[in-house]
Amino acid sequence: MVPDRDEDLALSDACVLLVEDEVVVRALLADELRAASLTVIEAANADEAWAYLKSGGVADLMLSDVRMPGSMDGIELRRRVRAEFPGIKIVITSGNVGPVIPGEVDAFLPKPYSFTKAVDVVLRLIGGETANG
Amino acid sequence: MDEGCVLLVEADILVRQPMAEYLRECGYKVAEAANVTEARQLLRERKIPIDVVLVDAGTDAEGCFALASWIRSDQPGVDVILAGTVPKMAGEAGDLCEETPLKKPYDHSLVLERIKQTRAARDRKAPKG
Repeated sequence: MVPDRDEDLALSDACVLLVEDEVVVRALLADELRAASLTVIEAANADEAWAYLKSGGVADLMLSDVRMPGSMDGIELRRRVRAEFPGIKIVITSGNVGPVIPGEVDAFLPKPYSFTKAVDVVLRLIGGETANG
Repeated sequence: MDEGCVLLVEADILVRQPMAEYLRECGYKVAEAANVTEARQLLRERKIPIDVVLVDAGTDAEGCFALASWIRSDQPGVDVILAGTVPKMAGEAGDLCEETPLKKPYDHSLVLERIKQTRAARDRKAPKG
């Protein structure tokens, strides 16, 4: 999905908080999202993402892995973000669908995923559509 | 605008993120690593061509010196800029990079200037033709 010029301008203001502990995956996906004109904040784990948000950092959408090192996983991060920052759309990605209850997230992205698919899910949500209805 | 790629190694997202955004606004591609292990992984996999590594030695000085030493021996096309203030640092840094360590907290414009100087020095050393 390639945004047209007007959408592209609007997207440049949209901010994605990418939470992923696999550094190569994080860096390459961040590149793809930036290539789609999005601003991307890279967090290496849930603690970093939470520190960023609690410090006043902005995000329109959070794309988070589940299993990560640190004091909390992606599910606990999702719970906190939903409670304190309800305006942030949430995409959870995992190789295991078990911990995510439908409706608790705006989209679930099963691993492994293609970067094209991930960018498409993010763009649809940023554009106002909810990927899982 | 392509000024090259900087790998920013910094444990604190509240320091790393604004520094990375500033460098992107200045035309650099920026890869981010939260620690030395992530930095090594990015460099080893070579999926993102990196020109300069800016590493904060404040939280893991020994690890950072080891990273800088490894880059020097195994990644000849990559320059290293050390930052932070730790004991022994000036002496160690003198063996690992061309300039004295950058001070923290970062002055973004000084970091940019150092990156430019480092790249210019490499260009001067590069064989002509």
